[in-house]
Amino acid sequence: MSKLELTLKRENPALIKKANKIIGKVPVEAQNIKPSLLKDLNISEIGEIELLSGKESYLLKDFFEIEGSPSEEIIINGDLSNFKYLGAAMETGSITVNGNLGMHAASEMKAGYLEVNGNVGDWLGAEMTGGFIKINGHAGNYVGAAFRGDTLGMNRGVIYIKGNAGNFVANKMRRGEIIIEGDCGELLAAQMIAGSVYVFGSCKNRVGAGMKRGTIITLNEVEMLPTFNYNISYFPDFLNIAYNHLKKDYGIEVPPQAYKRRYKRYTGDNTELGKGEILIWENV
Amino acid sequence: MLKLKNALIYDPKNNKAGVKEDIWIENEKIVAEPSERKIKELKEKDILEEIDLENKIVMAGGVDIHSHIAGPKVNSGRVLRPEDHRRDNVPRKGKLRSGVGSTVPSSYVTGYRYSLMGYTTVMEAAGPPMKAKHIHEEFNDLPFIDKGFLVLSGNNYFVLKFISENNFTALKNYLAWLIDVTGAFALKVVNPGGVEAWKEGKRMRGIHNKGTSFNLSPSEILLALAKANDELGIPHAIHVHTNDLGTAGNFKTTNETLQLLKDYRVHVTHIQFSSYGKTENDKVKFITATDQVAAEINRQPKLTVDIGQLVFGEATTMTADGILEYNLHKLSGNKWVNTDVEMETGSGIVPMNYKKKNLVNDIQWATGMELFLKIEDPWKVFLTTDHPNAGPFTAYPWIIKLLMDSNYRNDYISGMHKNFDDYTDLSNLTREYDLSEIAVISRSGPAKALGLENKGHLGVGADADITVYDNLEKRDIAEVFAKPKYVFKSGRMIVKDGELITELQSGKTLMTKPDYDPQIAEDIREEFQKYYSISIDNYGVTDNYYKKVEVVPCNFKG
Repeated sequence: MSKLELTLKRENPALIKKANKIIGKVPVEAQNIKPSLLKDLNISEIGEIELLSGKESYLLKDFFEIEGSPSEEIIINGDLSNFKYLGAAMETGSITVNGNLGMHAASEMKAGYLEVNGNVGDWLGAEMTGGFIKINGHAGNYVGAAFRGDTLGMNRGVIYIKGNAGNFVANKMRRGEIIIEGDCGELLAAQMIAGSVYVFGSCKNRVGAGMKRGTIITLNEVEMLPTFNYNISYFPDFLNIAYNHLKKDYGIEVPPQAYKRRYKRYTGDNTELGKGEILIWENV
Repeated sequence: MLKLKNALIYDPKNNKAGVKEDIWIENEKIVAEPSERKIKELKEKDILEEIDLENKIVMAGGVDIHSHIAGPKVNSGRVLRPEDHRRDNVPRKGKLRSGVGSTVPSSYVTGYRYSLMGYTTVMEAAGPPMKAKHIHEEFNDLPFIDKGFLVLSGNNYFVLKFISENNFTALKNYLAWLIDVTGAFALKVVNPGGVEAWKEGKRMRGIHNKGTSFNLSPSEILLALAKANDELGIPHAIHVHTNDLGTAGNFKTTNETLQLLKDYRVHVTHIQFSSYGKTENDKVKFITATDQVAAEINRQPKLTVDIGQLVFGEATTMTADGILEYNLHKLSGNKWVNTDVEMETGSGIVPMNYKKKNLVNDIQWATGMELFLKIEDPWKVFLTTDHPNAGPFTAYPWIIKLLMDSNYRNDYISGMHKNFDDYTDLSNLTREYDLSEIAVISRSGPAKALGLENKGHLGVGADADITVYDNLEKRDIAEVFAKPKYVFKSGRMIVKDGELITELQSGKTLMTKPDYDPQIAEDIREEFQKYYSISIDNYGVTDNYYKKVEVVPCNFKG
């Protein structure tokens, strides 16, 4: 199948230079690099797509070398750490980024596939309503969260992060799954409404603060908030089904020690509805 | 000089309905047709501009009697709701500054959107006197429209004190002083006594119980304020937000209030929220009581009301009625703000989302619509959404369509909750508003009720605030009213073909200056210095806050 390949130019308008040295980068808003938009255009039209950088408006060809043919499958090469909103509100197709990516990546995504072979910034998949995001590096804060003031965060869809994630992961999350292979920062799943979060590494403080419903599964000991109740230590069968589902449907390697083991179950947060659960793997 | 040719004029105040006439504008005013000689002279000098309005509907600029557009409460609403603005950005264009829209737009966008809709005069509905400086600062950044604000006085310490001491002269002087130093237009009364009781940790129901430490009932407060307002000759009546607002069965309180004040001028605002009945034998416990309220309104000659029509979708409730906002927060679980404004009033903000599938919201929507259709005289009922409480002002064109087109209304009702007809009788009402009646409820009526003699009509001497709409043939009514062809403000074109002219223009601030004895400031000084957090010398709004002021004379005579 044909692919569209964009390669970031070494010289592009977003670079801030002083005496021929790059001292910074102006953010670029790249929500227009969207498979549903690009697939129906020809190569020269793709080059004319608008990208905003700072207060100026540029064209896609100012930033990228364009190769291949128009397609729903887009591959982008280069360090896009100053590119915001890439894949925002995407509805179909796939975007693969070989390099780092900036903030708001795949925010409000509806469907499709985003893969990043590098690190991503904050607000990854914020308020997404479907689709699959795979990050092979680390992610920033507010993964799958709600934007400021909004009541619902991520609502359906899957986010899979191979590295670590920052603070406020799954803040106000409503539905869907987030899988983090590495460690995760503070306030994981704070004010969560529903959904599932798997952390195979360790979590920092205040896990599940203010959560209403939803499930947090972690393979390391967590410092629990006093507003959570300890319920039971048991072998949850549904977790094996869930792990098989992750492996079969998304190709996610679950650590073998997670299967068929004893978990401690806590419920909370009792300052809210108190129907959330936190399952902690018992190393016995 | 500007000549608007062949306009189809709808000017209910001057009894014109679809009359084809020319309008002449000079120096921001509408003038009589000049003599032949003068016209010739103007043509020779080439200073006569003519615009042909063949087949276009021409009305005076819209007047909104009740809308929350500036001040501390509105600003807190903006801060509370970043999500409200995220999807509605207005970029800079020419000399027009950027901003954000949605239910609580930024001050510039408020000005743009009112102008784009053909509204040229808007009354900010509730300003705490202490924060008057903030209101005037925002007014200066509110382009195009003329505006004024109503100063909150129903729970003010000095007001309650003077009423409880039976010192009517001092009350009158104090109110006049308050209007003068805050640069206000008229008096607003929000849940009189009720907010004070709430601040004291009590809850007051009805208008006859005494509850506060002043040992006053709401009825005593209302009577004293209505009487003082009439004697001061303030052009607008007291602007009343009734007690028990928003609760099931509150129509009794509303009717009692209306009967109590029948000898005085009174404007009851967002009466939709005050016209609910109660049924005991049913889970919803909520029903419209528009028959009773509309009958009372039809009976009283002096009374005016505005509706506060509910609009489905996002809204941000904000009012000085702190207890109401507390109830709404408890009911909805949404985030909220609640403030005690020292000696003067309370305040609160809660975001709301009115849903069509929610039966209670449907009943509220129907209550507003029924009142529009059951109040016989359009000069008594005005179009508002209590922006942004029941919905944003940008929904006015849609409400006009609902009023003018009963087929559309019935279609819309068919999408309501299946039990809708058990609680309302909107489906049986067939009345349709005509263009003249729309002109009354959206400009002439509110202007008359506010006592603005130069607004809301197109007679000679009126301000040249004019809105030109396309005719309604084969067009969607809501589209026509949402996008006027031209809008003129003070004789200058500000909207052309549904787009703003990219040139900022500031409107006037409307004020009244009733007479009073300046000794009152000295009489209250001691207590003021003791209980307020600011000094009385820093309290008043100084002249440098005012850019363009029009003082409306206080010449009402009972």
